[in-house]
Amino acid sequence: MDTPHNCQLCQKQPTSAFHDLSADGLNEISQLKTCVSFKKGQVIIHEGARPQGVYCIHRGKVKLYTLGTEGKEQIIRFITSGDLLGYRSILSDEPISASATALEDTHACYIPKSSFFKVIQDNPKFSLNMLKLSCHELGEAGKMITSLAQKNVKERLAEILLILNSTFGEDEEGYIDINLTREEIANMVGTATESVIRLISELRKEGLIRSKGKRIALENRSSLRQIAAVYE
Amino acid sequence: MLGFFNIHERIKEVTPFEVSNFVIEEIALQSSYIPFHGQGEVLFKKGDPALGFYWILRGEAEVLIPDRSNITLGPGSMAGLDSFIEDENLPFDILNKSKHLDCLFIDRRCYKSMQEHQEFNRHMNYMVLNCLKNYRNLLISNERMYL
Repeated sequence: MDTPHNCQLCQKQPTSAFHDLSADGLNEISQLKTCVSFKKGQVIIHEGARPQGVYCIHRGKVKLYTLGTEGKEQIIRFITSGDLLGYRSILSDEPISASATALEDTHACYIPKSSFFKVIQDNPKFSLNMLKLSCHELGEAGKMITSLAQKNVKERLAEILLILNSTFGEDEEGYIDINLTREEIANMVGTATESVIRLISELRKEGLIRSKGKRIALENRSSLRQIAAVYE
Repeated sequence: MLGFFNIHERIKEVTPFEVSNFVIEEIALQSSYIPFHGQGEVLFKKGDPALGFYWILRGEAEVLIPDRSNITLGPGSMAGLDSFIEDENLPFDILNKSKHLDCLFIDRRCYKSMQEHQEFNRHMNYMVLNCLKNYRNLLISNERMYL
């Protein structure tokens, strides 16, 4: 599945931040964007850099993380098709606050800063969408801080598994459609890999999840929600 | 904008010694490619934390030093390396000087893996000395006497 050069032909456009953009706006972006691809494991952008454009992910999964003083990753969240990467740094004129690495071969469109700003200036609906997106991410960051501060490791793990399931969906066998190592799950939960391995085995014994290699499937969502103290 | 394999070629061009394809692939995967499209675009602003540095593959950047002449950094230069090694914030603005500037942003993890290759380690030490030499050349002669 190649990235279409015309944004109006992109299947991801209706679910992306560009869904309200006028045909002129989409044409403007189509003319100035560049289609790029990243190999699995390739860094797309580093914390501290000042990117001069925004990436719109067309296909693939990307992890956002910061590195601690000892070089340990704290995964903040994942982004996938239709999501934007790097826009907050451009809007705030600050260095980017998290690194991004492709978890699988990823295709994206790179929109230069100047065209991104022009589209924002010319399309009030799109500006409002960007504002909503920023506010949503701020809210999510707040939730994460609360979760890390107030929940124990098992509660956080249950919450992360529910988030992964709702973000990436399930494959044909019912497993969460993303391959993460136990270390990456630990980096998201904010604990040691050994603790995650032990707790995954505990959740499996309790019949709340099943696992096969790296893959995990949720068996009892309502119990997981109770453990995580999250409600729909 | 350069593709993945063009980045390989550029890395080869700016590396002043023979380097294996494996090492180049490793650097290309662990660094992030950042293209700049216009003069005056910001690589670093004074006060930015030096969480990494830019390795210039094509084009020129400029270190703006108030009341002194600016320092131009060409292909192969490493912008912000001195602050990165010192773990200090950037003391000067560094801007794009050319129409097209292609850089790799090297963070601490990538830097450490580059350091494991002795020739890269030696080259990066040389780049730091080069940076100090650039700063020294900005001093007037009697200031140099006391340096």
